[in-house]
Amino acid sequence: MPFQRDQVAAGKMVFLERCAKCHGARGEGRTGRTLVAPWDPLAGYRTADQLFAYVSRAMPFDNPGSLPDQAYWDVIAFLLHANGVLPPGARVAKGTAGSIKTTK
Amino acid sequence: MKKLPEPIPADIGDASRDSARRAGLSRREFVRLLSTGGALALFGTSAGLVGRPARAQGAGADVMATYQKNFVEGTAGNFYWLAATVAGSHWWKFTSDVTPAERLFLRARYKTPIVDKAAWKLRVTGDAIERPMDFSYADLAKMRSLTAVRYHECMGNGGMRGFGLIGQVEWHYVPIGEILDRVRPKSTAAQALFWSGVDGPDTGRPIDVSDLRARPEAIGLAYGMNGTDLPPDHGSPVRAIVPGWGGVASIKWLSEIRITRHRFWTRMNTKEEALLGPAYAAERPGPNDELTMGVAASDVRGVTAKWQTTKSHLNLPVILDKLPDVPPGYPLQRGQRPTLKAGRQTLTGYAYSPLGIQRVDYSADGGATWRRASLTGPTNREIAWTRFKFDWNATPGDHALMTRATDKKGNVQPAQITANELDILDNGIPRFDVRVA
Repeated sequence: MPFQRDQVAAGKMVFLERCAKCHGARGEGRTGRTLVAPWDPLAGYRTADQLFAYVSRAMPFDNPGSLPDQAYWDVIAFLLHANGVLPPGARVAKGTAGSIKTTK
Repeated sequence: MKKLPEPIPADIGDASRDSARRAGLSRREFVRLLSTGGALALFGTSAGLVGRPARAQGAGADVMATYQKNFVEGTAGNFYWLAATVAGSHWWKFTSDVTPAERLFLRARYKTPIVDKAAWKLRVTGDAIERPMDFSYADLAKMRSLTAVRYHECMGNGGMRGFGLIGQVEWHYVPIGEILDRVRPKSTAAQALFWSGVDGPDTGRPIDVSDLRARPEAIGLAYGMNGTDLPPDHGSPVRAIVPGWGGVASIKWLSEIRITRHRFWTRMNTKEEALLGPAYAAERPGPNDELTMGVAASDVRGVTAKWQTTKSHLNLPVILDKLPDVPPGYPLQRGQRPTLKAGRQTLTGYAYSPLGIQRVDYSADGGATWRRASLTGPTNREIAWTRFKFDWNATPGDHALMTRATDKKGNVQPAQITANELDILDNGIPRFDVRVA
């Protein structure tokens, strides 16, 4: 069986290192917005690729666009998973993100 | 306002290219955008634009852009940095009426795009105009233009962020009435979306068509400032200007205006630059309204912020004790007061309101007693600031100076504003703590 990278776990590491400072360790929001909550806080982006288009250029707030693309895809996978909207087994990547919704 | 004798020709002083060269081509990334006409469709399938060619479906404005690696290359020392793309001016050093471009505050959401003027086009579309049109830079340069000095202020100036988010600019612009006359809005036209989408995927903001019609000569499309082209950081080649409203209404790197029967809700009038809090009842999007990228109906929680408020400040740094950290480039440590020498001296400042300034008072004893300051700038211009001064005999010790402006309609700066979550439009009477030695 081929090695399967755990994208959600990788995204969690990125989140804790680069995002938690402002958004809280569980995405509960501090100086940055709430990103993980029962009310679909990412709904405005509709799909994962829209979220990528924003996050990959606007974040982290203190150095926008500074992370590798893979780190952005991973952290998006983590956030979608934490909000309970990531379909089981889905990989969030350039080719798939357009069909992955940000809402339940 | 005086009319320019000639429009600024398209080929003089290409500030964009000069600046691009200064920024260093090798350290920047090249992008060619073929954006679609629809705000919602913009970038929907072209995620991650920086550093790779991007192409979206359908015809649309053809915008070429590269991106500066660093904001305001070479001038970072003129600012204090509230965020990577938010630079406040060292306002306590200001003495002039017009603010030089390299000292004018910057508030953006993304890195500065360098847009090719020759390839730039403004697309005017929407279901509520009779004639959709494209305008090139050369087209605009041939149209009737105006020059006007206006103060230009971020919604977030004052309050917890200090007074660095304001300056005064001499704009060279085509009045919006010239555009409306050509595209002919229908009677059903409700809003115009000023859209960029060039610096980032979601940058744009609506304005009511009735607001455009109320001020067809004051609102416009600026292609120059302070006697030359717009610099990249300030929206080159063309930006909107909405004098008297918070800076966010003056969308930079404009690429499209959509005039429609429905309204728009963008990041820049909902999650940001809106009055949020218990005092503000939420606006309600209509069933046909358009939510641009990043905005859900549940994000419309307050009121779109528009007009600026009446404010004043002294040419002294303030203690920024409500920010989590002292911003890089700020001269005072946490809690530190600026030091003045004892003795009689003249203190100066600026006062500003969309309604014009009638008077400024000051207090040197923390607000217990007030005296009138002298207005030293012109006071007969529309939406321009005025300077003021007063003599003060500084005695050794700690003092709290305050200033309080009254606009021409009699509105006086309040001791405290009705709180809003984002602390915007904060025109509470400012306090300048000083130490006299």
